[in-house]
Amino acid sequence: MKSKPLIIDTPSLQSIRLRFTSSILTLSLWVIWFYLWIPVVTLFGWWFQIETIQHEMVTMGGLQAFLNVLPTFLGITATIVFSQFLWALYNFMRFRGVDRRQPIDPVSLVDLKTTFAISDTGLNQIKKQKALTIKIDENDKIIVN
Amino acid sequence: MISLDTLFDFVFSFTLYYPLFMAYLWMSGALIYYMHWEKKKNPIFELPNTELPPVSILVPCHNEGENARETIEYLQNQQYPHIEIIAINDASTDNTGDILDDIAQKQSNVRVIHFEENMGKAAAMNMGALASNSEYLVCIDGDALLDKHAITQMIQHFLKGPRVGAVTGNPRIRTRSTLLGKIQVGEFSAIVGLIKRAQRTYGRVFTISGVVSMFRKSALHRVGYWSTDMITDDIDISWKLQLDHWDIRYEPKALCWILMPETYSGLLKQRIRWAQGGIEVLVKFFQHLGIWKSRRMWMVYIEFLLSVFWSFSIFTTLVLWILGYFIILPSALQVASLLPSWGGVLLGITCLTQFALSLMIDSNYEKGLWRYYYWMVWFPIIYWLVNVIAILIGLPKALLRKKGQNATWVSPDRGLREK
Repeated sequence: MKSKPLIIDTPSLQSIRLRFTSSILTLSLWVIWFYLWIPVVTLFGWWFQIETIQHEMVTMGGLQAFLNVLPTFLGITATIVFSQFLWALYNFMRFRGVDRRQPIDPVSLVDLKTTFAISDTGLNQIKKQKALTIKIDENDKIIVN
Repeated sequence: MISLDTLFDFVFSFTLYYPLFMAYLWMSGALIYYMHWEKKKNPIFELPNTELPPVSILVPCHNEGENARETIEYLQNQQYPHIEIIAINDASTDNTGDILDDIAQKQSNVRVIHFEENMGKAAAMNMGALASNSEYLVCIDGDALLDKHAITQMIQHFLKGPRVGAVTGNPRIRTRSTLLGKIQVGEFSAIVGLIKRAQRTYGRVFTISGVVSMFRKSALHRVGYWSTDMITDDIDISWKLQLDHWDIRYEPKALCWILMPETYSGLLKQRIRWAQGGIEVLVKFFQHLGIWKSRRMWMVYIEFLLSVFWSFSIFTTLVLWILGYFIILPSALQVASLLPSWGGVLLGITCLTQFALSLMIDSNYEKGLWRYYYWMVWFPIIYWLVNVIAILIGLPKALLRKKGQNATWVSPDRGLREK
């Protein structure tokens, strides 16, 4: 049997509609992506006119707005990262080499018969036969054909 | 009493900052996981073949005529000595049954069970577990291709740890012809992979990957096997096992190549089903969480609950922003602009960092992944947006669905492929 490639990357299979939608979506998402960066783009704009950057960022408070956001952001991020690190450390130390759960016995045939409400013959058929057909009735009873 | 101003100020800030802080939680968790467990080179298992336990591979199939042969061919290439393969044909309407019968006839370690009626994936796996002759079960979808070392990688967890109930593998996307295919490569690295690693760091996972996982049969037996009435059997079994104090591990080296939707409707349908399944589990296990012994599940529960809350908060923000153009709202409800200003820059930087980290880790398993960086940079926009829509639609579907109804499957969109 001829093996199909593991990675399927054949854009030519796309329909015209799918290509069109994907192009529109790609364009809009790049626009949204740049939209997120407007403050940085603006900053660069100002950068080339040093006099106005002083006016916009210092006099008009642009820098202040950024600095107001930053401590809260950094504080919460640091708390998240630090708490997670402490929690992981606590777990690594507490459970290193410790396993309180004892191995349990594998499932026996009797267990299976009880749980699935199946006869000895039925269970034997299901476990041994190469191919078989099964019906599950409205009472969840397994009927082997 | 909280004023309307304070309440909506919180909602608006939460809308912007929640994805940002979640990203840092996932990144730091994944990094801890990587440094502690993953970075060490794990040699391919050294135990002699005679000491390795037999493994049964369950392959539930519904209309897998195009894929079943290839899936089983890959399973036969496993570098693991003792395997039996049990394919369960869940009343397929195509030629799946004939193909499976033909394979079983030619290959001595393959057996087939045909269902007369479509019973759903969970029922198929229950039947496979009953038919299996091993204590360890690998469950793989009928359209997925398992890497030849995957079982060897996964079994080590069970042999070393008696409390390990399941090990979830590392699904990798095969279908990459479209924009959606390419950005899902990013999603499975930067979101799914990082979340799984982070959740392992805080002790419990939200879900195994339904497409490829390995189970200890005695653990499944204790929790009553798979629930046939849950729309996402994988999330449900993960919760059942963990609430019974079984560990679920993630094994990034157990690669499994999967087909994913490449149409917008296919992707949305899949995500709505996942969201609906998550909410069903949230509701089902709510009362169990009041118990102190279940405390280790609180974190994943809160994480999912927050994502539901966030979907509604972003929806509210959008509605208020649009309404603001038509009616005069009280000042507390006014959304002046959707422009996140410097918050947006932080969001952008966070995205770039998150993807760089995930690609750095995942490049160990797949070469040439960096070329997807271009497609990934704005992926979170799609991810969070699809999540919002999926949860908004999935929530009522989950709450209104009739209890006890069998969750049967329909053939999903499996991406673009040559016939």
